[in-house]
Amino acid sequence: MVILELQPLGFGKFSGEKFSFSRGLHVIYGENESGKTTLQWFIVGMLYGFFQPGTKRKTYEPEHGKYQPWNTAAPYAGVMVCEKDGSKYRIERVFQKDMDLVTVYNHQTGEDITAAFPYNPVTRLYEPGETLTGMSKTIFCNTLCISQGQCPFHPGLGKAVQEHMTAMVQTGDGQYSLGQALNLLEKQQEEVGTPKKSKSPYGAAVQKIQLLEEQLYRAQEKEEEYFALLRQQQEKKAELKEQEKEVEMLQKKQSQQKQQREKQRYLKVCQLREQCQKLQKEQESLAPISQITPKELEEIYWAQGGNGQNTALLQQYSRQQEQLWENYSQLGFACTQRELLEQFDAYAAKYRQAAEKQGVVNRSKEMEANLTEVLAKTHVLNSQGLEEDISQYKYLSSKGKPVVPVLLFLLAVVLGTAGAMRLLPQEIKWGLWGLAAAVAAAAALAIKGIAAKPKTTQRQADILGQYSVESLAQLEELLSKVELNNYKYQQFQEQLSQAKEQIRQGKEEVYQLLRQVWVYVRELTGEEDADPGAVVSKEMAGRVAQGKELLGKIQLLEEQKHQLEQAAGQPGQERARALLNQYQAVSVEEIKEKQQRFQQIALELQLNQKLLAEMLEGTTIEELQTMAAACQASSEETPENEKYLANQLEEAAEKKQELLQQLAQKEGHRKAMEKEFCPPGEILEQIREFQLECQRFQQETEAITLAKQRLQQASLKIQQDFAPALSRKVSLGLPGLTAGKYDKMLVTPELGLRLVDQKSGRLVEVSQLSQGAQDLLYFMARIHLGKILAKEGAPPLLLDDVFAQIDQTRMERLLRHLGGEEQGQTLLFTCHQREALFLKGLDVHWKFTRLPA
Amino acid sequence: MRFIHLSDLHIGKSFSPKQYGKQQAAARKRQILNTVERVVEFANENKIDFILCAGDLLHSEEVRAEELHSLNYVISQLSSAKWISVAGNHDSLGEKSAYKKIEWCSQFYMAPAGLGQLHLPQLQTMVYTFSWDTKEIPLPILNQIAITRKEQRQILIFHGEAAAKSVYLPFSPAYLEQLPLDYIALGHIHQPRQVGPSIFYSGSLEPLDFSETGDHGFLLCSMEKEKRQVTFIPFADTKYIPVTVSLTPKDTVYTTVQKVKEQIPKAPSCFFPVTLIGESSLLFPVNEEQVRQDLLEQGIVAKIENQTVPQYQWDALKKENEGNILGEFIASFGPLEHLSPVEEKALRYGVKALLEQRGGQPW
Repeated sequence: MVILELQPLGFGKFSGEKFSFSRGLHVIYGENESGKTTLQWFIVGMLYGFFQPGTKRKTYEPEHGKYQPWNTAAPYAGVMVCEKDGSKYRIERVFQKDMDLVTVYNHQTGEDITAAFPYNPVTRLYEPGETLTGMSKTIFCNTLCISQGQCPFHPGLGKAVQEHMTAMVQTGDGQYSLGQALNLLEKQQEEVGTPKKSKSPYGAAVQKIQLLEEQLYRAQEKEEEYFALLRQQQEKKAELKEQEKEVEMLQKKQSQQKQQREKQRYLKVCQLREQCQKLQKEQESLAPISQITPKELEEIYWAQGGNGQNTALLQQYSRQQEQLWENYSQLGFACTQRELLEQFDAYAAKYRQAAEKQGVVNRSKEMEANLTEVLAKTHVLNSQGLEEDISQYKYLSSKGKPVVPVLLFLLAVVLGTAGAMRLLPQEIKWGLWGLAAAVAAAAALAIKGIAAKPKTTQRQADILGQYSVESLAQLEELLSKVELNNYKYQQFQEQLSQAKEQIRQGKEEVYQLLRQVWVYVRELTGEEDADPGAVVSKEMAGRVAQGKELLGKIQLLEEQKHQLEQAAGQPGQERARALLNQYQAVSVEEIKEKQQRFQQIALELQLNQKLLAEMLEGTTIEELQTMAAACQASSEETPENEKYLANQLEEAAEKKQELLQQLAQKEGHRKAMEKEFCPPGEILEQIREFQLECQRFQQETEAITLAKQRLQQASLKIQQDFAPALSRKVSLGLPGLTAGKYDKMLVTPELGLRLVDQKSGRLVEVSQLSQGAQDLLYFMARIHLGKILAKEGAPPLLLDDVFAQIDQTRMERLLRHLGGEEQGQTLLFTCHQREALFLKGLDVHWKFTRLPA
Repeated sequence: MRFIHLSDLHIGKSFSPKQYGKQQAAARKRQILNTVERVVEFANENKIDFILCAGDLLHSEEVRAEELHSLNYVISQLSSAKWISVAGNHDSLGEKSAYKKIEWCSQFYMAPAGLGQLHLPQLQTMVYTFSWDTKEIPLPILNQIAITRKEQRQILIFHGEAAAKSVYLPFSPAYLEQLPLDYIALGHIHQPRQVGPSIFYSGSLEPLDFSETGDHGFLLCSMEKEKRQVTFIPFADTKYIPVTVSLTPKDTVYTTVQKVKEQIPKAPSCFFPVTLIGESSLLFPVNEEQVRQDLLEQGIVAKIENQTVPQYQWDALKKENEGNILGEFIASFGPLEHLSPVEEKALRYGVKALLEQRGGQPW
């Protein structure tokens, strides 16, 4: 880059002066305070502005305030025209605070190309400096822009230059920093993490895989357990099946046994039924004989002679009769009819009835006595007289009341007075009216008195006195009492009459009843003075009962005797034969036998039927037949012991139940396992996913590691290339600067400088040289470094009074070196003329500019 | 005679909650059983004689007992048809077969391990079966079977791969074709296809993976005397619909998500294998994982495959930075056409770190 024009419109002491420059060496002479440094800073300001680099907010450097225009009317601004790579740029900048503005034009076309330059979001300005110079402000100010007193180039140089040097050495480009790039990769690596860092994604994935593998192991164990359980279940099911078969078999046997039992039962039932039928038949055939009465039988018996027992029997009966009569006579009864004895209870009832009646009579008598006594004490009162007295009293009361006449009198007075008023004079009228009023008042009073108090006559008083009462009300009360008294009296009288009647009737009835009983007792006992009360005595009742019994027996014997006598005769014989025909028998014995047989049959039949009913046990024979038909076992087969079979069946059923329970338990266990069971395949799938993720992380890690390695390798290669390049650059001017003593400078990767002795080839540390020589060499190294950092089109070298402290010889050597740089631009600001004088004698292209004082 | 040929239901297979979202993953599992229920309803309504399931009915490694009970219940709803199954590699009849876990209904028939046959006299049909009892069968066992004509109709059902070499019961279609078989029902391949005049894969009843795009369902076969008709019936409840989205280097995660959403058809119960094409930023390509997560948060289940090409070539970058660490770094990877994934990432990370640190324009 070459500066062609500078025009500070308002910058320090300058206000609008224009300065032109060209390529190559340009000496700008100015006395002290002529603005050399100001102009240098103007160049820096126009390229980069006066903002502190690397800040987050727009911050002005001290130079911004330092170079405010002295001419306050002038704008704090400037213009710079420069050339780079064949293009000319016109930079216009306003430095005014908060009015900062940068505009860049294509100086040839006038096109505004400001936006082509990088935009700084902090200063909010487009900054052309870095693009045009190829380096940052820091690098420029620390390499190619050398101010007063800034001559030495030593290891204590600005840190940024050091870093850029390092970066340049390491990366071949001052803008790249190996360290920072490696840091970024480290951060990226940290984000991925490592398998051992459990909090990093990689580590978390590895941990998850471990957990899942544990789960997988457990799941596989569970699976084994599960399938073992399944196998056990299958075995149990097979066992259960066998057991069920066993139970079925036993049940079948039991069923067969039952059927056989039923069959046998059926057979037995059939037998019984047959038996019953046989008996019934026989019974039917003997049924007529069962109809024969004992009488008929006896008739036959006796008709056939009764085995010669007729007479003896008769005698016996007679003896018995006699005995019975004897016993009867001892009872003391006169009658011999049983019917009479039968009436005993009835007459006893009559006697009791008579006693009851007597009781009634007695009570009636008591009542009679009471009533008589009461009637003796009371008498009928004269109610009629009292009524008459009361009527009279009332009459007398109504007679003495002159209310009506008084009213008539009053009316007459009023009417008369009214009539007189019309005829009489006024004065008299008033007196008449007064008199009429008095009379009316008196009449009113009289009426009031009459109405209030009824007048009582003497007669009335007498009446009241007669009855010892004081008022009509009491009189009337008395009347009612009298009437009540009379009524009661009448009632008592009626009751008395009734009582008497009752007594009379009762007595009659009692008499009749007693008489009847007495007649009966007399008839019974034969005693005239028999006591009717005997009918209710226990003793009598007992005798009567005995008597009835005895008479009954006697009668019976009598009948038997009669029968015997009847039977023994001819009619008896015929009758017997008829009976024998009827009953198909020849003799009484046969009949008796048949009767016996009939009874036997009945008994037997009853028994058999009972047995049959028991055997049937509620079923019908058809049902039993059906059950028996189902039995396949032969009746000849010996059935197993029922009890043994039942026991076996019970055991088998128990075992089956047990197996069912076990199966149910296993089923429950299995279902519980299934609920919590996670198939190993599922876990494996998850593991695979995480493994894939780990693979990705691993790939990331490998990629980052490889990137770091390759970066370091590349840096190493750069270092290996750059240091020699720098050495070569620096070595170019070395013979001229060292008067041919050294022709090579070596720049180590650590930025150390060494010289190669041309004669001996020995390496000499720069620090072994004199201070002046060191300064010069470091100065040169700095300039060349700047040019290397800027690459092609490096900005101009700005030297502000840098030769003030070096000797003539070195100055000449340096000037000679700088004069040889025709492609670049060097602006040498000086307050001495010796540089110009020296350059005049050199065969180099140089320009001179004098600053106005 | 009419029958249904299906396979590879993989009941019990879990779907990644990370990929599908927790709810969707669980719902997807249930969906497969719902489809089986619909198949049963179809069979009842259309008087199907039997259903052939050519293996992998279950995903034994992951199926739970509860799911087995549910499946058993669904199959028990068949009114007249029988469900004839053979075991495949994912539900082999080994020691720990999932089939042993429950008592299956009478409508369900599982062919025993190895070769077997099931005679259906009322349909004049003989069904030859082959069930797996291991996870791998590398030998072409079926290439040696001999079958004679015993019935008017003869069917072979097994789970295998039509290949010369495979661990999944390889077989030769040519050999099987010459056997007296009227229909060969296969399982294992999840896409419906025909590998021979009588040899058919029904494909999986429901798609199970992002690679299983296209229609899924079962084959409906009818055999009347000499005539045979095989029809594919799309029956799946869900679909994986491929989507292609074109990107530019300026696209971010947000814009990529928006572009994907614009491309996605309005189809419920569908999932989307998304392919990103176009150009991407060299150092800051779109984060596929972030795109996928953002879509998932919006209820869209997608799998993202990035086939974008970097906007700038590494070579150009290398050339521009010759002599500095960036150029040297790129050069250290040698020829850039055949970088391994790790190298490619390392290259990108290193360059990104240098440029980020520098603070310059991102590439």
